[in-house]
Amino acid sequence: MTSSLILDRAAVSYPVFTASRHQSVLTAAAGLLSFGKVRRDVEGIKVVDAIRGISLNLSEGARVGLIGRNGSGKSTLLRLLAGIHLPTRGKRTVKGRISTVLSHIAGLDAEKSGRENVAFICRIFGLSSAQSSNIINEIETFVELGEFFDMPLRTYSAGMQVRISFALATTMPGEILLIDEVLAAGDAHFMTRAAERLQKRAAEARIMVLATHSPTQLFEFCDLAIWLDSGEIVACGKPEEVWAQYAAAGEEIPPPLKRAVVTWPSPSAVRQERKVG
Amino acid sequence: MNEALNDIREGALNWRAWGVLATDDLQARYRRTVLGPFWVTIAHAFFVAGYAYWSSAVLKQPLAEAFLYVAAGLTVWAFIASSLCEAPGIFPRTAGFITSYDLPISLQIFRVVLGQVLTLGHNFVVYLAALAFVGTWPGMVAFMAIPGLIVVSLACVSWSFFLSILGARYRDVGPLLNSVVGMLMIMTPVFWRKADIGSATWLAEANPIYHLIELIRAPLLGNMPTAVNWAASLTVVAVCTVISLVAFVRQRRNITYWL
Repeated sequence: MTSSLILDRAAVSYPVFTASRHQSVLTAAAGLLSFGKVRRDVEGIKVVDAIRGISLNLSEGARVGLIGRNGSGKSTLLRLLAGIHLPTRGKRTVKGRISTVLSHIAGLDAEKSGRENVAFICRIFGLSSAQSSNIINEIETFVELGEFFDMPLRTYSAGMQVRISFALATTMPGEILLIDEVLAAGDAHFMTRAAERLQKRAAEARIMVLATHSPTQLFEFCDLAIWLDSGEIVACGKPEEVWAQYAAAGEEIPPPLKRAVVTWPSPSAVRQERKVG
Repeated sequence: MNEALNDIREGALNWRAWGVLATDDLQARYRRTVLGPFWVTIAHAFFVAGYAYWSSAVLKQPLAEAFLYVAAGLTVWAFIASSLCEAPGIFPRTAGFITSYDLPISLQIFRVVLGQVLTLGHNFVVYLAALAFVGTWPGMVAFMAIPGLIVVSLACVSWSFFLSILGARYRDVGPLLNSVVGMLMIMTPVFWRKADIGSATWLAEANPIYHLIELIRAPLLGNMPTAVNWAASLTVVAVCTVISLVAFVRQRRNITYWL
């Protein structure tokens, strides 16, 4: 099966509840009973437009780096690609299994050891015991945690935790790999090993999307860079070029691209039309 | 609409995943203490025994009869009550898992209800102990409790969907429901019998939870549930399923943004 990951003008906007009355069924009921005259429950809810209509068409071999300032929408885009958040407008189509490294140990049990966690995730995804023991062995060798592999995750440092999540995501069967900035918690030695592992995965013609603040990582792992700001694509293209623009921009963010349809691998299809105003 | 229905279909079919999750929830309780979930059972046993003794001493009911009635009724009640109380917290509690894997979120509902069925299995020991203590056997009719259990479990699944959606959006649904369930425990014939209240039997008849309890309790006490019990219970399942489907189809997209 050829894998692909497509977003068609996908947008995400979500409410942010800042007061307890925003999340109170009693206040909401009062709103209903007063026929909407008292709407304390919805007053002051802010809506964040995290992603404003992004089109992507990634197929086998795509190695994409997401760059952008904090809060520019990188993590939301990854969650959207991962199928965790559904687009509030637009469409997402995916072919292939997805593995993610989106946060240190979310989805893992802090009370379980590294080994138990890996075994548990293997069981959830219905792997045979032979497959599971292969995966456990592979991960144990890769993470180099020694005796800590058999200790509860709560005793791990952030870097150790990310070793487990990264190893899990890159070892579990899956064609699409999505990685957030958390990878940066690893030490230099781990980063080298992670790089080798990603190169290997890329050789297997899978799709990878990586959010990063490191030009080294971007140049090393990615063939295409997407610069996000305020949930829109500001630029996309060769990693070196886009990074140079991004680094030069400083506080001056250029207007987002008018019709950015990122298609990869097929760089000619990247249309860069600048939105005016 | 499709993505919501797909979520339910794929979640239900992925029984292996929710089976693993539910048994792990149970094992997590064993990990912390040797007796694990049996602590709940022990608390349950003391409660049943204490109440049975009290009612025979104060209300002058035959001890054996009171013991059996409360052991059967309270075991079923605990199952239904835990489902109502836990449902609003399902998505917030499993947010870490939901936001890490591309798996159907309906999985979490099946996981929690299965966990409640497994806890019911533990508490069922109290009823068996009561049978041994009284030295009686309800007869083959007791096996009619199995279809009853299936319908009550379906009811739990059906209301868990909309209660969990409501609980993800409004965080005070949990405490609110907890207060209501406390009152329902007194209003539902668990400690008392429908016959005890004379002409006010409507109080029990109008209570859907009474019918659900009867579906399991009546066979355990050697009686067949009535046709009214069945009709009322199936109506609960049907109504809750419709409400839940509408809520899930309308809100599926929003749930992960509320967590």
